[in-house]
Amino acid sequence: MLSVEGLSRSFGSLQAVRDISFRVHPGEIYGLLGPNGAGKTTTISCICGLLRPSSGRIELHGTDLGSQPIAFKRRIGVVPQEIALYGDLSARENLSFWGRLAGLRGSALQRRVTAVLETVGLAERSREPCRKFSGGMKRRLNLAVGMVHEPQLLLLDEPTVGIDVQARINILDVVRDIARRGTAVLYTTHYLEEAQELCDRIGIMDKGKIFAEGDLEHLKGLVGEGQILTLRGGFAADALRPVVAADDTVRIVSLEDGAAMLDIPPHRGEVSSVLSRILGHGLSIDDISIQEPNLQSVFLKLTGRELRD
Amino acid sequence: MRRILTLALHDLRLTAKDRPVLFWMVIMPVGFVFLFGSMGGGERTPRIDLTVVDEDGSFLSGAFAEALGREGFRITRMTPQVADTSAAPDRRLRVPAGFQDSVRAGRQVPVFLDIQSDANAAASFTAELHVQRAIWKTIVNLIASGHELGLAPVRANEPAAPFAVDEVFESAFTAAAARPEIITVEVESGGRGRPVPSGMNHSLPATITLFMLINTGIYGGVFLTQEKQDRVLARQATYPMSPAAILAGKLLGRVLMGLTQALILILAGRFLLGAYLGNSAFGLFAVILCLSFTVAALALFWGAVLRSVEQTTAITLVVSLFLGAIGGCWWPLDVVPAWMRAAGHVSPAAWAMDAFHALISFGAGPGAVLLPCVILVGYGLLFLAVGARLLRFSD
Ligand SMILES: Nc1ncnc2c1ncn2[C@@H]1O[C@H](COP(=O)(O)OP(=O)(O)OP(=O)(O)O)[C@@H](O)[C@H]1O
Ligand SMILES: [Mg+2]
Repeated sequence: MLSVEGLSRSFGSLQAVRDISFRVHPGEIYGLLGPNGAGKTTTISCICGLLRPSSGRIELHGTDLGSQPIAFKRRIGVVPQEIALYGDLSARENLSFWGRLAGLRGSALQRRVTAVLETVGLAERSREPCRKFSGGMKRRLNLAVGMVHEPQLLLLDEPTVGIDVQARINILDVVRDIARRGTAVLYTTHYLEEAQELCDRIGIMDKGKIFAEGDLEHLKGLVGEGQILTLRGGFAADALRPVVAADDTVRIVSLEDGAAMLDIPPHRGEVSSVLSRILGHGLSIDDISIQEPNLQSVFLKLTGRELRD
Repeated sequence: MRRILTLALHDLRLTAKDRPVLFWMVIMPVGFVFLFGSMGGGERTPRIDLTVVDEDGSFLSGAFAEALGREGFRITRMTPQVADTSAAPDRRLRVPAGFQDSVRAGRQVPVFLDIQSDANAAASFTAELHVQRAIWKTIVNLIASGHELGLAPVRANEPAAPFAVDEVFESAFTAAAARPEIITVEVESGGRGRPVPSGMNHSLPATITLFMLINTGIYGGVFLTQEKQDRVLARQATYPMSPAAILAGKLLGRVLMGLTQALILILAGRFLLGAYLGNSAFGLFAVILCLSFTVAALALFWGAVLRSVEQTTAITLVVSLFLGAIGGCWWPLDVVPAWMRAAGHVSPAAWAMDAFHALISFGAGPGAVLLPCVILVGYGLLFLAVGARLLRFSD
């Protein structure tokens, strides 16, 4: 089990990570969901020993990173946000090199290299220099390097950025499969759907803090049980607020000029009555959508801002 | 330790993957040795040609000719009859009739060294020195064997007691000649006084030094900047190795690059071009190993401080050429003014060249390379310390 306790990291006066704590159990996929600059990479970098935390404690199965860095690193695999590969080497050569650095040798190394090439679907093109690969293929190789030595903890930093659907599906499948075999997976992303689909538990991160964590149901519960009514149009926030406030069963998830997200109780006819009241006040509405609560609304409620892909 | 080796071999593999490497590490430097080796006077080895015309035909004149052979001359023996009819060689040493008898009688006897005016002057100068040394050694051997024969010492103002040249004497003389030298002649002279290393004797070590600087510098520097740029250095830092181990792996990789370059040139020089490499394989290896360390550490330094591949290529190339030039890789420092020679020793290349010249051109033993080696290692440690301090695994 990975245990992060009170982790902080500053760059000068900027606090990139502020006192966060979480655990990732074997076989679990823990997602850190947050926008650009939330502190996801900084968190991962601290856990893989690349950055020294300003404070806090990081342990894996009782091995403390601060006091036993080598023993700790022996058990982890890292897939960095940037593709970090040797472009002049083939997929197979890259995997052999990184596998060897992780401590694999001989036939065990060859076996694992062949296996992960198969897993990420690069077996056919394993002998080409990987600089010729497409973005998606590079991403898959980047992932394969992190898992070739079968680490107990796999750290994945936005592993699906900028790739096509096919490659993305493959990567998510591979990650699920790794977790199923008992690996603890820490997965950072700024894609809501990805976190929603893939992760067993999600930590919602912004400005260096984890605002809430839990499984999807738990997080949705933080917003409310009702439906989410999203409104867009030419209205002012101050004009809408009193109209909504008059009905104390309706909660405001977010509100700004021209955009509102409301949590409506799950009673029959509730949505239409709220809508008619708003329209009755002469507020101009161009676009209406009604959704079940989702991470989008959770994120908005917790951080006060929208998470866009 | 295995991870250090993995990193080191990885650097070698990256070098081998680079297509132009064949040109940069083999074709170009071997071409350099050949080109500059034949420009600078033509002789490939210090085996200077010497024709010995033995007019005496005695045991002692034969022993003297052998002593000359041991001095490193390539001896062609000629009878006086052949010498009269053939064209004059570059350097001819005439041992006159009556040589042995004169020596027996304690009379002074000249040997004549004829040098053609168009013969290589440096080689001829060296030839004179070596003839002197052969004379001294022959005399020493005479005295040594004389003592063993139980002869009375020669008194200065009397003719020496003639000694018998018989089988007993001959075997005693041969035994004396085979012994380690009782007295060795160390020719020490200032820069002007000694022959300037030339031909292959200069071009081979100069090319080794220059191309170790250039190729280890560029490849070693560029690989590290590339690894920083491509984030693979940061990725390496997440593996179970200390930063010191990573650095050690990279240093070792660059040392191996330097050694490979040297080995290519030594093999090509020795077997393809017939170059002479001095008498001390140990001394030669020591210099090359120390120089490899220096250039490896310098490459790490460049890789640590420079940011882009283009910058690193350009800067390491220019600096390597500059260090090579002031360090005597283009022309021997013996031909430049003293102040330039002194200033040139700012370059590690100058110390390497001093050591190589001592071994190859001046016939020195391994002891002569001690100081240059210590200085080369000192430079290496300095570059390594600064490089290690400035290297950032991630930003
Ligand atoms: N080496 C650094 N020096 C200074 N500031 C840094 C450094 N690394 C990160 N930061 C800052 O710390 C904050 C968190 O950055 P971090 O890279 O951890 O965010 P992230 O969640 O990974 O974002 P992204 O989605 O863009 O990758 C940002 O404000 C960033 O500018
Ligand atoms: Mg990031």
